[in-house]
This record gives sequence, structure tokens and C-alpha cells, in this order.
Amino acid sequence: MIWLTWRQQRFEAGLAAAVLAAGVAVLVVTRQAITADINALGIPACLSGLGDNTTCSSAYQAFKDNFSAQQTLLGALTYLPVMIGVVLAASIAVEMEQGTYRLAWAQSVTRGRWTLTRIGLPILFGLAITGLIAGVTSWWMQPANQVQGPLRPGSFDVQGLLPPAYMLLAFAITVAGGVLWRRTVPAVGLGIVAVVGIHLAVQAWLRPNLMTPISYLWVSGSAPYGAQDWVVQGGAGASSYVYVDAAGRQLSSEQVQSICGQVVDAQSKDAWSSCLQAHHLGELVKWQPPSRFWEFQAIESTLVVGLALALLLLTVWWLRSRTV
Amino acid sequence: MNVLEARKLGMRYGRRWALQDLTLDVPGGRIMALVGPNGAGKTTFLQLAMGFAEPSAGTVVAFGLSPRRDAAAFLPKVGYAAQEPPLFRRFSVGELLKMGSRLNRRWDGPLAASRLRRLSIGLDLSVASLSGGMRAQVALVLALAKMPDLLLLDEPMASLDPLARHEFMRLLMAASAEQGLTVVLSSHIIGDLRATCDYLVVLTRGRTQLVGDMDEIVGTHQRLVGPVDSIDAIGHVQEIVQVELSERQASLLVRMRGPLLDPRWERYPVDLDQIVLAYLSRNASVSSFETDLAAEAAS
Repeated sequence: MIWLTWRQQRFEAGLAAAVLAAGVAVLVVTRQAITADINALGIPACLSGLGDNTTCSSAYQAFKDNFSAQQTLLGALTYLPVMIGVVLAASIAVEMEQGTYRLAWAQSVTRGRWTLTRIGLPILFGLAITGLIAGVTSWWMQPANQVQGPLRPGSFDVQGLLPPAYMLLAFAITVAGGVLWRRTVPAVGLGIVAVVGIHLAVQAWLRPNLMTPISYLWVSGSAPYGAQDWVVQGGAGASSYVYVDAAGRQLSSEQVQSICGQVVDAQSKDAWSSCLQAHHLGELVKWQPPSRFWEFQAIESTLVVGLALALLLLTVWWLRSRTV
Repeated sequence: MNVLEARKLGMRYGRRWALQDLTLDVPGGRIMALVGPNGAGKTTFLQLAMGFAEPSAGTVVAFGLSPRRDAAAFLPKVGYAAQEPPLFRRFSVGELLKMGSRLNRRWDGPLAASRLRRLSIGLDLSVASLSGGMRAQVALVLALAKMPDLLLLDEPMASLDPLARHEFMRLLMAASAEQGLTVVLSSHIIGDLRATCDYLVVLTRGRTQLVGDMDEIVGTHQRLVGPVDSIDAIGHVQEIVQVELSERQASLLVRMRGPLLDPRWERYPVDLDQIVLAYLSRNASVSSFETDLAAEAAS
């Protein structure tokens, strides 16, 4: 049965392994460049509170510009596990569509063993491949995580537990569609659309609300900023900025602009900072600190894996008792 | 000894009954033809006998085993092949044999390989490149390589041309003689069955219309042509299956139960097609079956 499963899926397995190898090669090469870039811009000094704010501000801007190409690469990596899950499950959908499962069922292996092997082995393989991908991308993201935290949408999704979790969900939805529907193309379409839809919805609405953000007051221009300030500047999991005065009252940005004018260039930016300080205005930042990375990973992957397991149970039940 | 027994067997998909109230015995060592129109429930019966589904009603038992609950003991004893056989298209023929050897404890690989050699089907051919006739033969060779005691064939020749049907039947007959197995072969094409099968079941809507030894059935059925006014007298002795009336004469298809004494009646032999058709006509819905027969006659 193991041989049969391998023979039926070796093409997909080879494809996934080739993608993995190519991806690792690209990531190993580009990680060097990112590390070199961070050092050349002097960002380590900023993070340890040794740089001056103006220099660090432009260093951060430069890093963001340089990193945008890699950010595109991350976008591609986000849905790679989904594609792997769909492709591995598509082979089972094809088997249901063509009716070849009956050839296997007419041999001497019981339906239970067939189901377990035919569905279990691709899952193990997919988890292994996407686990490796997640390991490599997590390693690749380390330098950038130092600069901007690991919680940015896009970079959060390619690290830790989420790639295998979304692979499993994509597999479960596609295989459920294939077994219930017995049509490959609709099952694959359903798998892709449903998982991408769920992922985008989670990213936009669920994830920011999973844990209450931490608030802290950030005073513009005061002394050299510390690592936390810069990580927030880098866009790490920050969800809102509100201006507050010394008494803690909120001000709209129009109100602040009426006091301190507008930022149009570097000079007015300095004036803006001094003005905010002079009027004792600060920004109340609500954000998720990088230390919550694993908690977020655990919560979201538990939800995703739970949904996937429910679908897999339905599929196995359907295969064992409803499929003729 | 019956190898396979169905008792009040029924299968429902949603609200529609695909098979209802079928009671049928398959005696051991026979090659049984299961004949009936499309929709009679032949495929459903064979799928239930294979344990592909749990019956909605009644029971099916083979070798005293439930195909589903005792699957681990039952499956090694049974071989199965279906119409347009589902073979893995990306496999080569040799890989199908390897699949069989991996998935069966009882497996005669050399026998299967030598049969394929005699059929001039190379082991390195890809399944996708095989003709319909070759695929049917490969499916049969695979089912036989399990060394089954019972072979269930669901319309195995439906998509084959007459020559391929003939070769398929030759392979089946040779193998059943070698391996001494019981065969159930469903078909809506009757022409080839007379020579191959020695037991006949005619099935309509889950009801058996005719069950018995093939030679006995063909030998005892005759067409009698004689005067209309003495039909009743014939009916006292013989079993009248079908009556066709013209102006003066009656043409009866009868099962002979006793001697024919009235010299005004002439007797003619009938072939299997006519017998089967007569029994199906006793049941109302035969239109699709007649269409099939007409298509077969035209080809």
C-alpha cells in the first residue's frame, strides 16, 4: 500500500521536493544580502540605542526600500504550502473521479488501511516538506525580524507553525471536495479559493483581535530611540497610533497639525518633533510585541489544524461508509 | 454448495432504490450470466457482493462471510473487474502487476505475466496507450492473478468490439477451467453468453425472472406454432412464456413441461436472445433492453 501510494504520488512529491530545493537555494543566497544590508545601514547601532534618530530614521527607510523585493518573494512563499496541500490532495480527487479506487478496493487490503495510507502518507509528506520550508524561511527571516519584528502580515505567515497548518487545511478541503464531489477541477478550485479566503479573513480580522494589544506612550524626538521604538517604526504588529496630551486626552491628527503644522521635508520634521515635545504631546501606540510570536502562532495554527482535522474526519467517514 | 447468497437484498441511494428485494443463490463452480436491462440492478448487486457499500436492506454472504464486516478474510477470495476497467493510467502494465503483488498475499505473478505474454501485451506498455479490449484483458488477468475462488465481472465487455469480446471470453473460459473458480458475469449483451456461461439469471428491477442451468434452459424452450383455438390445451401441459397472435395462427414461446401430443402444432428451436427477451417482455419495462438488442443485431 505504501508502494502504491508512492507510485501514485511520486510526481507530485518530486515536484514539491524540487520547489523546496529551489526555494532553499534562493533563500540562502538572499539572506546574506539582507544581513549585509542591515549592517551597512548601521541598523544594529540604532537597535542598541546608540544611533541618532535622524540617521536611524533614514536607515530604516532605506532598509524598507531595499527589502521590498524580498517582501514580494515572501508573498510568493505565503501560498506555497497551500499549493503543496492542494497538489497532494488532487491526486486523490483524480482517483475518485476516474474510479481507480475500486481497483485498490478489489485487492486484499481493507478499506480502512487503504484510507489511512492513501490519505495519511501524503499528509505526512506535506507536513515534512512545509515544515522544512517553514524552518528555512524562519531562519531566513531572522535578520529582518530583528529590524521589524516577526509579526508583520506576510512575514508572520511564512514562519513557524503556520505553513504546515495551512498546508493541512488546503489538503483537507481539497480532498473533502474530491471525495464528496468526485471531480478534480472543482475540488482543486475549491481548495485554493477556500484556503486563500480563510487566510485573508484571518489575517485581516481575526489575527489582530486574538490578543489584547499592549499600549505604550511614544514621545517623538526624545533622546535616541530604543530597540522597541524602532521595531514599532518598522511596522511590527502595531495596530493604532493616537495622539495624546500630557493629561492623557486624545487629539485628532488635524488638531495636532493645527498646533505644529505639517511635515513636508526633513527640516519641518525636526520642527514637528520639537513642537510635539514643547507641547507635551505624545503618541499612544497599541501594538503586539514580538515576544508574542509563538502565542499567536499557536492560537492560529490550532484553529486552522482543528478545522482541517474536522474535514479529514468527515472525509474518512464518507470514504468508509458512503463511497461505493 | 452456494458460494454467494443474497437474501432480500436492497440498496437505496437517496430516495431511489437501485436494487430491491433480490434473493439469489450463486452455485459453486458455475459461470453465471447475470442478464438484464440497464437499471436492473446488476452493477449494484455486484458492488454489494464486493462489499463496496453496506446494503440498505437484506444481506449478502459469500463463503459464509460478510463482504464488509469480514473484509480481511473475504477480499483475498474474490476477484473483480468492471466495465471500462478503472486502471491507473499513469502506470505501466508491469506496475499494475507489482501493485497486485504488493496488495495481495495470494498472488500468482508468473501466471499473470505468462497470460499477458500470450495476449501480446507487453509489461512495459503504459496503461494509457492500451486499447479498450487490451484494458479489459489486463483487468481480467489482474483479477485472476489473485487466484480468487469467486470472480465478479460487471459488464466487462460492454465497450468491446465482437472480436475483443471473443478473445475476452476465451481467456475467461481457459482461466476458469484452470483455476476452477465460480464466476458471476453481468451483461446486457447476450450473444456471447451461450457458449461461455453454464448458468443463467435474468434480472429485472431486482426481481429474478429466470434462473437455471444454461443448457437446460435453452433445451427446454421452444417456439410452437399452431391454431389459436388450442392455446389453452397447450397451456395445460406446457409453460407459456410469450404469446404472439396472427390471424389464424398463434406463435408461442414455451418452456416444455411434457410431451407435445397435438400434431397440428409445429415446434421450432429458439436461441438464447429470444428466450431472454420473452422473459423480459413479461415484465413491462423492456424498451432499453430491446434497443440494446437491436443495436447489437445491427452491428
